[in-house]
Amino acid sequence: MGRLWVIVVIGAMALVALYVVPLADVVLLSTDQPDLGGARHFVAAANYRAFASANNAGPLVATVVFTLATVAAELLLALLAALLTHRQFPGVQLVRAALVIPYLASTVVIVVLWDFFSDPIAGALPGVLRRLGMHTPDLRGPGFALPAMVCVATYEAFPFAYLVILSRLFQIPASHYELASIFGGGAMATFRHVTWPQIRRALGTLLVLRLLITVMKIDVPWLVYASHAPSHWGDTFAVRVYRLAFESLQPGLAAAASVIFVAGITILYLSWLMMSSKDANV
Amino acid sequence: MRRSTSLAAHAGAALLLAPLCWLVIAAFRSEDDILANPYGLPRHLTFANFRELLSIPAFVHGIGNSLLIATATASVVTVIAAPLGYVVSRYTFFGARLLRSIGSAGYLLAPAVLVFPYTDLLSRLGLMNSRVAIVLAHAAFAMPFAFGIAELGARGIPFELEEAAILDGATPVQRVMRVVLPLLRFQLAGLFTLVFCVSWKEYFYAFTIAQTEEVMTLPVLLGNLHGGDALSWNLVCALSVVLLLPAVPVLLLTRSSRLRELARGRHD
Repeated sequence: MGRLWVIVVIGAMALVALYVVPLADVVLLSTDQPDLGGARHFVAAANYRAFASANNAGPLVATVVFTLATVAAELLLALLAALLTHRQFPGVQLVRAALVIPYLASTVVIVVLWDFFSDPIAGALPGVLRRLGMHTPDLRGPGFALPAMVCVATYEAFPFAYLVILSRLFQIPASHYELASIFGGGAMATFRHVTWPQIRRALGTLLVLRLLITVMKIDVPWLVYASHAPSHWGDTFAVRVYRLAFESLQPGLAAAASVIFVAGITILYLSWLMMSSKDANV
Repeated sequence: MRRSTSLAAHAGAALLLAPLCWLVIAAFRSEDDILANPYGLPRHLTFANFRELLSIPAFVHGIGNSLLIATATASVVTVIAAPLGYVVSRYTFFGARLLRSIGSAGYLLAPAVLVFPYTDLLSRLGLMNSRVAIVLAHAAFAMPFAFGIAELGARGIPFELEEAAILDGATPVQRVMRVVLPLLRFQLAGLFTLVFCVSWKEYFYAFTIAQTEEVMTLPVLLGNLHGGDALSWNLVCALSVVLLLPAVPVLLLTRSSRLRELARGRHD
């Protein structure tokens, strides 16, 4: 390796500084009770007990609903879009580029768009509903908070899933489709017998990764609703941790909640890794 | 079947892009024009919104901060992740697996979890409300996928090319500087641009770390001004368009045929 070991040392130091040190800080903080002066008092598992006895049902339900709905919507839309655009037709390159553009937009910009399009007076969405004679819900109110978050998060995340599925579709040999058409298979049969077996594993991995990332997402829930919400209804778990740390100024409790959050997600992820490697061995 | 699927694809793409197209056009309209006829053709187009933004000190600070922070983040991440990705792809050494795991674990340590140990550590170091702190946080955010991209890119370079250099007596460092880096230059440029975009549009770390206008980035500014109804819609749209600008070079890069060739693994 020669002098390249210097790169390894620098890289290792950077990774340790960026991830290991903060994680260690959170774990240590979860066993402390800092006072207003900043001094930390060791309280062992008191923060964990306090967290377990608090009412976390609301944020848990909101997080599960937000995560499952967003990931389901983005994967379904991405699959549909990839199936529609992986064959050649006039303008397909433009369509593929267009479908990727929302990925390059900042979350704040997409929230701005949502806010304008859901505005009770000037918004396109209430306008369309009124024209159709349907009842127009308050798209900015608490009742629509979760659906609004799901819409924004799906719009933002869909291009990435689309790119992953599209690149997997490109790897399916054309001969498979030719064989299917020789045997007289229609679109549904072709999908079931040719496409689906080839994309199943990639979709599974994508599903797990997107679930992991979405469950911890904080910018969308915060910007769409929580930052100006009249109450804490609709807070996801990530928002609850943020509020504990920065609004209620209970860093010890927030740290304990973070540790439980990360531990829970890591356990689920490792279980999935173990199950999928068992599938591969069978 | 082909006709209807291509029509559906065009319609879907048009529907998806329509809000962003509306936004770009609205950035060049006056507020009265937007409110009078939001979705119709504009009465006239003007650069006045952008001139007005430039007269707001917070905006001038914001664009300067965003440029500085995004450039610094992209530089730091490329300089660290690219060589590390190469070394991990070529050599097995004690701790290589651990390094790779820590690099990927960055995905699990999302802003929601890291934001408040970062603020805790930054306050103790006296770095809260500083651009350096935002660069560090953005580097943490971008490092996992930069590392993954760099490793993938390095694996795409056939080792035979380096073997030829070894036969000529090149040291490992010389191999990297004279063989690997020139071949990776387009991918490194792509990596730099991607990390720049990620840092440019990042909201949450910047929102938590920046406490005063002098340090705020553009997304934080847009979030604050829009949420508080302090800016009218035409200015909000103009500010959003400025935020969308780095998307242009990224799109151009991915459209370039040279990069597509490299992606398919051809090097000449």
